[in-house]
Amino acid sequence: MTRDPSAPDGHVGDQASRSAEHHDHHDCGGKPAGPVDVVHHDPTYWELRVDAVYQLLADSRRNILRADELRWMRESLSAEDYDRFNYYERWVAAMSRILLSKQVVTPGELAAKIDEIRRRGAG
Amino acid sequence: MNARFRIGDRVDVATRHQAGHVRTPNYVKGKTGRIVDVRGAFRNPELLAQGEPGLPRQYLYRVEFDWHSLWHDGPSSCPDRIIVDIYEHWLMTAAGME
Repeated sequence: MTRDPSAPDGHVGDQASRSAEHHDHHDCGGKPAGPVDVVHHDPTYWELRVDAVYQLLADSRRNILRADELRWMRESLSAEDYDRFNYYERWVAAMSRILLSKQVVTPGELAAKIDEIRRRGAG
Repeated sequence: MNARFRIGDRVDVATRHQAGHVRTPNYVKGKTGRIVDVRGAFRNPELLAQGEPGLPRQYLYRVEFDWHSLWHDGPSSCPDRIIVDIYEHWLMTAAGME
């Protein structure tokens, strides 16, 4: 497993305290970046589910997070994570960190769920 | 509250480096552009990103830049324009236009 954006990484507190600092790794418009893949991709089932979870968290009834909070948390990922995660993996990483920082879920609950899903996948 | 700028106004983009969520991309900071549309007043995303109500609302403009005012590579005859959505608190009347 080389990347697991939803796994608690033990640096949640660091993420929160880092949020006051400036991050501009994402602000890369106009910088050399190589060729752009313009082939159309249909969203995968997993990507649709990530989007659905966001819609539920942001709806007017739950109002747990907002688009701009999610954007900021994505921008606050380390440069290394930002580059190795794909688009929706950044969403998952950012949503996980927001839910942990707002104590909607605990690190233990998240880790237990990830374990359960891994076992399901392995079985 | 009225919009400070109108279509056709020439504006400079602030150069400040601001922590947190900012929707003004680095590549337009310090550049001069032209207002091509006034989109309306919206809650400030910089404050919304921090969980605040995002007030006062900020006018949002579409600002057009000549390709060559942003990047100097490519042919000088390049007619392309780049249009960026920019909030009012990042804009000032272009130097020499007062």
